[in-house]
Amino acid sequence: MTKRIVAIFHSLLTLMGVLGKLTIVMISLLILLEVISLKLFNYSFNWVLELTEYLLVFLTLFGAAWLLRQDGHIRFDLLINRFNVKNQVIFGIINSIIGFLISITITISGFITSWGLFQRGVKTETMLQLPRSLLIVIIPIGFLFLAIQFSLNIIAGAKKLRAKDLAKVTEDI
Amino acid sequence: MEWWLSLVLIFGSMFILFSIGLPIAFAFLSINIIGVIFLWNGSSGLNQLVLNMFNSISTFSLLPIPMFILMGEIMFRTGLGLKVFETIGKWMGKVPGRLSIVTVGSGTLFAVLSGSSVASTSLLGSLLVPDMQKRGYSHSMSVGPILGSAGLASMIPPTALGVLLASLASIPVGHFLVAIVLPGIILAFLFLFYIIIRCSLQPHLAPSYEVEDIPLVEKITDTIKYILPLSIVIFLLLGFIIFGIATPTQSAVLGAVGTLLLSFFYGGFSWAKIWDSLTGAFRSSVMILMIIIGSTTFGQLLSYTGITQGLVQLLNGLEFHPIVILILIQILLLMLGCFMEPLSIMMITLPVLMPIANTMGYDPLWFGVIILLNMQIATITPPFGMDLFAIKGVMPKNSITMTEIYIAVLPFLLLNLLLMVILVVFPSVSLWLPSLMK
Repeated sequence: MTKRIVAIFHSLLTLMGVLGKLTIVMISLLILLEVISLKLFNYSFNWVLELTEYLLVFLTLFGAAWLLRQDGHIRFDLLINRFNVKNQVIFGIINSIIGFLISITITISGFITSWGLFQRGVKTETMLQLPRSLLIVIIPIGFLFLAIQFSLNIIAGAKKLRAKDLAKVTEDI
Repeated sequence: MEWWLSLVLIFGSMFILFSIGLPIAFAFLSINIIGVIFLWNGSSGLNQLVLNMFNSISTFSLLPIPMFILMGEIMFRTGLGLKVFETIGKWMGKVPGRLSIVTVGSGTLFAVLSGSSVASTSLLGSLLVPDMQKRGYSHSMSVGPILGSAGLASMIPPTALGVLLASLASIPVGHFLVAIVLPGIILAFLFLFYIIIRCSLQPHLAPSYEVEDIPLVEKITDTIKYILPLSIVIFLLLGFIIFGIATPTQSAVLGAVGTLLLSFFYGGFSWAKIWDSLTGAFRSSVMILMIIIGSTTFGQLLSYTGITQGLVQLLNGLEFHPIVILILIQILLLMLGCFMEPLSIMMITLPVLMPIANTMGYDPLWFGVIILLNMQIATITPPFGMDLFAIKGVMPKNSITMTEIYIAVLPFLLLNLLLMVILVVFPSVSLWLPSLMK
C-alpha cells in the first residue's frame, strides 16, 4: 500500500516535471507571438508580459520537488563530502527534517494566505485582473510536494542508517 | 538588538546551515521564516513572506534566464557548439597550445550552459585533462585553462548569472549584458595571448603533435557552414538589445528559435534532443529561481534589523577613498568565494552592496560588472576556491597535488585580476557600449 502511494506520488512529480518543461515552451511561444505581432503588425498583446511573469512562478514550483527528488538543488557539499558515509546519511536526515519543517510551514501559511485572498475576492491590479488566490496557491501546492519528498528522504535516510552495510542500501524512495 | 549582533546571528546561522549541506534555497528560507516570525509579528509575517516569494520571481527581468539556458542547451545537445569548436580547431593547425585554446573555448561554452562553474570544471576536468596529459601537456596548460574558462563564461552573454545580478541589483538587464561584452572579449584575448606566448617560450608545456592537414577549402566551407550562421544569431541577439529593437527576453527567445532552426538545417535536430534541452533548461532554471524564492525576504530582513544601514554608516565613517572601499569589497567577495557558489554570494551580499555602491557614488552598471567578474575569480582563488577542489576531485588519484593546481591556476587568476584593474581604471571599457544603446 505504502509503495503504491509512493509510486503515485512519483508519477505526480514526473507529471509536474513535464508540465514545467511545457511551461518553458509556452513562455517561448507567447513571447514569440508578441514579437511577431508587434514587429509585423504593430499590435501588442499587453497580457503576454503579465502572463509570462506568472508562468515563471509556476515553472519554478512545478520543478521544486521534482528537482529535490533528483538531489539537484544547489548546496555546499565540499565539507559534507569529507565525512564518512554514516555521518553523511545523518546530516542528510537532519537536512531533510529542516527542509520538511520549512516546507510544511510555508504550505500551511500559503494555504491560509490563499484562502484569505479568495474570501476577500482580491484580484491582481493589472490588465488581466486574475484572482490573486489562484496564483498564490501554487506556492503551498509546490511546497506540499516538497514536504512530502523531504519526508520520503527522511525515511530513506533512516532505512540506510538501520542497514548494516550502508553501501548496499540503494533503495530509491 | 544591536545591528552587529543581528549580523553575527543571521550570517552565522546561514553559514552553519550551508555547511551542513542544506540546499541554499532552504537555508535562506530557514533564516527568513525565523526572521519574519520574530520581527514581523508571527503569522502575518509568514503571510507576507508567501506574497514576497510570489512577487520575487514573477518579474519580467528574470524571464531571459530560462530562455538563455534553453538556447545554450539546444546549441550543446544538437551538436552545434561542438561543430563550431571543431571548425576553430581546424583553423588553429599547429598553433602553440592548441588544445589549451580549445579547452578555454569549450570551458566557456560548458560553463555558460551549466550555469555552475563547479559543474563545468568537474565535467571538463574528467573529459579533457586525461587526453591533454596523454599528449604531454603540463598542468599549467591543461588544468589552468579549464579553471580560467569558468571566469570567462560569466563575462560572455548569454549568461544567466549576469541576468540575475542585473535583476537583483535593479540594473537594466539589456544594458548589463551589453556592458560585459567588451570585458569578456578582452579576457578571452588575454587568455589566448597568454597561452600562445607561454607555449612559444616554453614548448615543453604543450608539446606540438601531428595534426591532420586540412585543406583550405574545407576550413572555409566549415566556417561558412557552422560559425557564420551561429555568429549571426548571437550578433543579432546582442544587436537587437543594443539598438532597442527587442527586450533581452525577446532577444533570448529569438536566439533560442534561431538556434533551433540552425540545428534543423544541420541535421542535429531530433525531438529527443529538444526534450533533453528542455529538461536541462528546466532543471537549471528551477535551481536558480528556487534560490531567488528562498532569499526573497533576506534583503528586507537585513534592512529591517538595521544591518544594511549599519554597514553603510560604518563604511562612511571610515572616510576611506571610494576606491579603497571598492578594493575591500572585492577582498570580502573573494573570501566568500572560497566556500560558496557565486549565485549564493550574490543573494547574500547584493542587498548590502548596492546601497553601499549608491552611497559611494559608483555607477551601478560598472560596479555590477566588477562584482560579476569577482564572483567567478573567487571560485578559483587559492587556497580554498571551490573550483580548485572540484578539479582535484575528478582528476585520477595522486595525479596532481593541490599545490600544482594552485600553480596552474595562478596565471589565469592574475589575468582575471588584470581585467579587474582595467575595469577599475578605465570604466569606459564597461560603460562605452551601453552608452550607445537607445
